[in-house]
Amino acid sequence: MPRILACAAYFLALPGVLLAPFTAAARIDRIDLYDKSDNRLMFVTFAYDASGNNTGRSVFMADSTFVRSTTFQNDVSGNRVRETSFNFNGDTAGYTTFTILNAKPAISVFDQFGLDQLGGPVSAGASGTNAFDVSQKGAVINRVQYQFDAGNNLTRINVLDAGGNLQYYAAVNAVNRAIVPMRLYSAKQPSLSMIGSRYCRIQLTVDKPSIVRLDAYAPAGRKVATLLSVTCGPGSSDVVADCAAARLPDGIYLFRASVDGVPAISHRQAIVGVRGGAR
Amino acid sequence: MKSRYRALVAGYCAFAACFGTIRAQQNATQIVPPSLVFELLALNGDLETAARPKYRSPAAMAASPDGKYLYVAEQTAKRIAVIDLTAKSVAREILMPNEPTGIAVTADGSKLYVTCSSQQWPAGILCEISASAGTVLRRIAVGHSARSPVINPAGTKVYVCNWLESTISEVDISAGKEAAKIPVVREPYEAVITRDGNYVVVGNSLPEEKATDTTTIAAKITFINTATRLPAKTISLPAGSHSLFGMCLSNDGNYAFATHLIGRTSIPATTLAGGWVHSNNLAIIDITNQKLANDVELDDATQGAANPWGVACTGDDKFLCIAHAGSNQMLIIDQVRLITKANAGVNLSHDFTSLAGIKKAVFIQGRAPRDIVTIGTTAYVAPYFSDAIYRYAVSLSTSLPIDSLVLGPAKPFTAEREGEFRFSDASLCYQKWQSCASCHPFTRPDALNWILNQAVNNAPKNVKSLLYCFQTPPENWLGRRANAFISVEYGVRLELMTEPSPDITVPLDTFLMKLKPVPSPFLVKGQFSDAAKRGKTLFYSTAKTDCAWCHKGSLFTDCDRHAAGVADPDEVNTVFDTPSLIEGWRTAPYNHLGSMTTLEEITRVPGHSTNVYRLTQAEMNDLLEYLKSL
Repeated sequence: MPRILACAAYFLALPGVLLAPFTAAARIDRIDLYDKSDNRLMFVTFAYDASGNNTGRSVFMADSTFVRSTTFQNDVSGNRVRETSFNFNGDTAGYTTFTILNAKPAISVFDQFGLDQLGGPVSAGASGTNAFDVSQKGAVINRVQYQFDAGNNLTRINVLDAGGNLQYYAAVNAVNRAIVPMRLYSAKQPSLSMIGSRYCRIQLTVDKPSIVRLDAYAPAGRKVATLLSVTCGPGSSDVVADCAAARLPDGIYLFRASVDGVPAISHRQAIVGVRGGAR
Repeated sequence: MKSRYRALVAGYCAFAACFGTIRAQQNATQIVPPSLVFELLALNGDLETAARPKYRSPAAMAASPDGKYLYVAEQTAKRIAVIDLTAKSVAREILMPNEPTGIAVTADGSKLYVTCSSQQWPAGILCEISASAGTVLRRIAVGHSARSPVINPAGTKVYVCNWLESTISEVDISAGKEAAKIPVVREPYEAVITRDGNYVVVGNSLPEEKATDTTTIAAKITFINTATRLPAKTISLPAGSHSLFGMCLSNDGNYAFATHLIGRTSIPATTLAGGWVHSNNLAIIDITNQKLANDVELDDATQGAANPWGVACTGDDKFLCIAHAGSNQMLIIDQVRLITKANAGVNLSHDFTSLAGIKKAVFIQGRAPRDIVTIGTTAYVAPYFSDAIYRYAVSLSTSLPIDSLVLGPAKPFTAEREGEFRFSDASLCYQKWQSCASCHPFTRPDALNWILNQAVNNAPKNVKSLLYCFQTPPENWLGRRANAFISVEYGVRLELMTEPSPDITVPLDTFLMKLKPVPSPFLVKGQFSDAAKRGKTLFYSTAKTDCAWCHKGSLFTDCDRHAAGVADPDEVNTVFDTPSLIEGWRTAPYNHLGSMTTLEEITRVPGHSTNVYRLTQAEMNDLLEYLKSL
């Protein structure tokens, strides 16, 4: 009996590694692009639909001057086939098409008249863990590296020249997603002997007053209980949910935390990977 | 059993950890894929591509007061190259947030003030840079398309030309912000400040009059009183003057020199020889009396000195050096004798003999020199389409450079870049009198009316912008050319009097068809103001206006010809091309005659529209705000 609850507790008990299945990367709302001397050049904001799907983005110069907005067109399989950009008057400013070139995804960028803007397709292929080579006309012209934090949140993208020297970088701004680092773990120290733990603890940082909620789900996907629903003020917060106080029966549970309704720590990926998508 | 279960759980956790990590990271790289980051930086001119190598384009220079360093604004590379003149090499490169357009150095040499703006991002920034550390200390917002910073003698203020906004920004250095914005005539491109700091002398690059005022239309010099922040005096250059792109002050402070062209528009443009289409001139401004001392033709009788740009005096005020971007040369003039001749009371604006014996033309090895600075009696010339600065010992016997200061390896020219160069290259022209850029500065209008070679039986026509010329056929006001390919060929053949070959026209075509508009200074952070939004509704309201009937589509033209109500008794044709409205804020004067200086005039003219005249003034203001924002 206690062993079963311990499974969930076990997931929650090893931050950093074993918590990863519960940690879906938070939504990217904005990236800021800088040169290597830290001159801020521009920023991009991302739009999402109610299901969390990225539906568009807008580009602004560093002083917030609007440049263009972009909408997406996917094929029936959900693969991106075209992006169309619009100027301040809502007129087409250009478009980007997506193809496969030498087994790598490639883009071609055109203005509104179909005039090629890059001088041919540009492809980007993986060259290592979170690293990509950007190539044009058969030669690597840039390298792009992604950096993630322990919670799998994208934090920075480096753009290097072909020789590996930093030229530009993008800082991923997570302010709007409300969660900067977030960790969910047991009140007790991580240990295999934690069987019988009744507490779940959430630490998080938010930039504005936010409602933090922790729900428990049965493996079949049915929500069993809301363990926590509190408002956290700006800054770091540390809240603890008591499973016993919520009258949660012993069993296997999966936990889902949200901040202002935005999933912050989700069980979805874990279940999908092992249980076949029960929820 | 218990241990087996634990092993199973641990296995699941390890798998799920990897799976979750990969999924989360994949999701992030799908939203911000490497191709997106690349595209953003490439379209902004930061990362080079096959289409757009990162050319340097040295556009402006300044020397440190001790003469040890030369600062070069590499415009399209978005950086300042600091050249150690002792080591003759680039000591440092300072990255800028946008394209550097002008440099000023403080009297003690400790700081640089660099204006930045670009076509993509014209909102001006004045960057304060530590000369020793090479770091940007402050970024101060100034006006649209900022350039040509000048520091007052007290070192307390910087004045900046907001070129396409037609204003001057006064920046308070201690406060680190713009203190005032002063309207001037039109498109101020260069400025100097008097030695006492009492006046900023501004060179307006384009005239503001109706093009039909052929005896008075001219670019102007504005004296701004720095105490009152008001224009104190405006001086007209000779009629037909335009493209004022270079200015300097003599070291004694008594004269300002301004380079410009004179379009001789009162006669058909059939004879290039003798400067009868364009002459290339230098205005000499008497600072003390705030008047035009004289205007001197720089050309020879049989050879033009096309497109004069940067100008500088040697430290001893003995010589004046002028960079000619079109004819690819530096002109060295005996400044003392020039001043003497200028004050003799004879108009020298179309006199080939005036500089005989007191000038020397020096061929420049690079392509299209735009700026020039002097340190003592040494001149440094920056060809815009090259990757080196050329150094000359200045005298009337100078013919070759002492050496060149290499900024970096040269990049091969794309067809677009070649076309951009060819557009300002007067070597295409018979006797180098003019280039395409002479009538179409930066591919936009010179604001003048011309009677062109194959239209001598027609009335004069106002120069059109070349923006979107390839996308809006037919060409010219009468639709005489079916498309821009033909127009470019005829332009080279008839206006430059050279038989066009594909190695010239193809790059020109490529360059012109890729032109992009400059965002309007009337936009607010790149978007419509509330008035412009209301104006947009009016523009498309068939009940209120019929603008979109002819100015339709994303380019605001039906590519057809109409009678727009502009009376033209000298013209047999009654219908004229519908111009695009994009960049209408910078293409005055309006209509085929250039007889109206404001958008309101052309909008209200009877016969232009069937119902716009019914708009209230408030509605009209909103409509105009929209038009000016395009």
